[in-house]
Amino acid sequence: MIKKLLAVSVSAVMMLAMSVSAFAAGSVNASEQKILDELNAKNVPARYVSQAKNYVEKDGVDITEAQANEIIAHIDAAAKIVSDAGIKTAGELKNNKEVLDKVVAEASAAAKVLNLTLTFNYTTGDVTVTDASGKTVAVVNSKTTKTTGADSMSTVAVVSVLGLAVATLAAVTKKNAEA
Amino acid sequence: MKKSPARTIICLLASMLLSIFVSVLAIMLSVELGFATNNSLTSALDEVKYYERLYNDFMDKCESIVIPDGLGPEVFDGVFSVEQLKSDGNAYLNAQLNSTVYKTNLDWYKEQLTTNIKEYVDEKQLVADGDEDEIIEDIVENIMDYYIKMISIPYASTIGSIFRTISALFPYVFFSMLVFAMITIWIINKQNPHKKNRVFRYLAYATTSGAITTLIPPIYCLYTKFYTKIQVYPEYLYDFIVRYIENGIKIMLLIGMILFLVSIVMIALSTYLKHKYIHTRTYHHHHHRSGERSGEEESEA
Amino acid sequence: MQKHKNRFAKKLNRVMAYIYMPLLFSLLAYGVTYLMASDVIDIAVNLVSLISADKAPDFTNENNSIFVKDSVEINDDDGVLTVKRADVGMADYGDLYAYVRCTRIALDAPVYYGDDDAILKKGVGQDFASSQPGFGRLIVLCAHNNMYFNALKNIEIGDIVEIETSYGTYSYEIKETKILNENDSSAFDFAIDHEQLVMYTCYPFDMLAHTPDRFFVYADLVSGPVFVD
Repeated sequence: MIKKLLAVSVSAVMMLAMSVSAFAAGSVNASEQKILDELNAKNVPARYVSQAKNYVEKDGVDITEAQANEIIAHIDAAAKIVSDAGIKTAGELKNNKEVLDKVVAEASAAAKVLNLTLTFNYTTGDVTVTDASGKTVAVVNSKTTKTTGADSMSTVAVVSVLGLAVATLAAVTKKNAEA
Repeated sequence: MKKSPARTIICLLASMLLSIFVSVLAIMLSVELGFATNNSLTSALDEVKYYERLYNDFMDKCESIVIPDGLGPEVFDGVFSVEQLKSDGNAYLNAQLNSTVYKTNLDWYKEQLTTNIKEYVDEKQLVADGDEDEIIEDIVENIMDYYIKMISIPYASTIGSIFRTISALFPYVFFSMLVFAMITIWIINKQNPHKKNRVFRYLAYATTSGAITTLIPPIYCLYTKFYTKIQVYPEYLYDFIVRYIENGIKIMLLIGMILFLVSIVMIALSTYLKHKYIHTRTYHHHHHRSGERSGEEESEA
Repeated sequence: MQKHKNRFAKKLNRVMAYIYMPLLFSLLAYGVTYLMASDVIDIAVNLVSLISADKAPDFTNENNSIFVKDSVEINDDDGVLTVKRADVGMADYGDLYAYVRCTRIALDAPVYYGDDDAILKKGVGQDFASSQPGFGRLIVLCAHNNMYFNALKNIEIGDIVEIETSYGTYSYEIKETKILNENDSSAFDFAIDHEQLVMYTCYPFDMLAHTPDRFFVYADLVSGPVFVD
C-alpha cells in the first residue's frame, strides 16, 4: 500500500512537470482538473489531495519550486528504497525495520524542507502535521484511519500521511509554479 | 631520568584509553542511576502531578464517549477518584516495567457505573434501542477499556525492557571498565617508577577528559533545551517527559562534576609531587656540590 | 633571563597540557563513537527532529475566533454578489469561523474548523479535509446528536441551511438524507465537482443506544458570494 501510494505521488509529480497550463487563483482550471483526476484515478485518497489543496490556499503559504523539487527527490528515494527491498504492502514495511527506518529518514528529510513537524496527542490518538508557522497541514485521527484499518499512531500510518502530505503539496506547488 | 619519547607515547596512549574507560563508566553510571530505574519514572510522575491532571482529562473523555449513546456526565458521579486512579496507575506501570501482569480490579467501577446509568435512564425515561442491559454493559466495557488505556504510560513495556537490558549489562560493563582502568593505571605507573608526579599528570588528563565527555551531553541539553520542543500532547504527558529528562540530566551533571573534582585532586597531587622532587633534587644537588668542594678542600689541604 | 623565560614557557606548556590533552582525548572519543554509531545516531536525530518544532508546544486552550460579522465588503455586480479572494480569511484547526443555521428546525450553532472531542462539546465541528463555503468543494460538518445537531432529526428535503462566515452567507438546499454505517466510505466524496454541504450526526436520536450508524444530510449550494481577484 505505501509503495503504491509513494509511487503514485511520484507519477503525479512527473505529470505535473510536463504540464504547461496556466493556473487561475480561486478556480479549478483544465490542467489542474486533469492532475486531480489522475491522482484520484491512481487511488491517492481524495482526503489527502483535499487537505493539501486547503493548505496551499492559506495566506502566507509560499512553497517554491526548488523546495518542491527537493521534496520530490526525497520521496523518489523513499520509493526506490521500498521497491528495491521488494516490499509491497504496509504490513511488510512495518515488519522490515531497516527499510522502515530509511523511509522515515527520507520522509523526515522531505518534511524538513518545509519545516513540517509531527504533533502526537497520545490520549486522542491524533497525529497532526504542522508547518513552521503553526498552520495545520494534515490531520490523522480515528476518523481517517478507520477506513484504512491503521492505528493512527503507527509509524507506517504516520509516514504514509507525511509522505503524501509533502508529495501532494509539492505536486500542487509545482502546478502553481508552472502557471 | 631523561624523558624517553617511547615512554611518553605509551603513557599518553594509556591515558587516552583510561579516559575512554572512565567516560564509559561515568556515562553508564549516569544512565543507570538517572534514567534506567523505575524510580526515575515514578518520581517524575509525582513531581508533575501526572495522575491528578490525567484524571481531569479522563473524565472529559468519558463524557465524550457516552454523549453519543444518549447519556450525560452525571453517570460518572462517585465512580472514579484521583487516589484510586493514581494507585492503579502506579501498580500498572510497575507491572509493565517489570514485565509482569497486573490485573486492575474493575468490578467496583463497573458496578457503580452500571447503577448510575440505570438511574439516569429511568430518570430521563430514555428508551433503549435494543436490549437495555446489553447496551449498558457495552457502554461500561467501553469506559473500562478506556480507563486501562489512560492509566498506562505510553510504551511502558518497551521502556521496561530497555531498563532491564541496561541493568543487566551494567555490572559487566562497570567491572570490565574498572579492570581495564586498573590495567592502564598500572602501565602508567610502571612507565614512571621514579617520577610519580607524571603518573598523576596522566591520570589528571584521563579524569579531566572523562569529566568533559560526561559533562558535554547535559550541558548541551540544558543549553539548547531541545527536549522541550517535542510536540507531544497532552500537557501532563509533555511535562512528565521533560521532567524525566531533566532529572536524568542533573544526575549526569553531578557525576561529571565529581569527576572534575577528582581531576583537580590529580592535578594538585601532580603539582605537589613535582615541587617535592624539585626541592629534594635541589637539596641533594647542593649537598653533592658541597660534598665535592669539601673533598677538594681536603685534597688541597 | 633566558633561563627564566624558558622555565616560564615550560610551566605554561605544562598547564596548557591539562587543557588541550583532555580536550583532544574527548574529541577523539566522540569522533570514534560517532563514526561507529552514525547510522543509529542519524535515525534517532531524524525521529526527534520530526516531532520537534522551533519552540515548545502551545497548551493554551484559547478559542480562536476568526468570525467577525459583516467585516468584509461584499459587492453586487449585476445581481451577483462578489467578494475579493484576498479578503477571504482561511481558518486553521480549532478556529471558530462561521455559524450554521436553519430557522425552521431552530438550528443555530457555531462552526469550528476541526472535529475532535473538545470541539464537539462546544459546537459543530468541520472535517479538516473539507473546504470552507465558497470554494466549490465539499463541506462536511458534524456534531453530537443530543447537542448541537439534535435539531437534524426534524430536517426535511427542501429546507434551507445557511452558513454565515465573515465573508458572506451561503445558502444550501437539502436534497437528500441517508442513514449509513459510520465506516461507510461512500458517505461523501472529497473529489466532488460542485459545492456540497454534508452534515452528519450519530443515529438514532434521543435513545439509549449503540450508535454505529450516522444520519447524513446532503445539501447543494443555492447562493452566496463568488470570489473575484
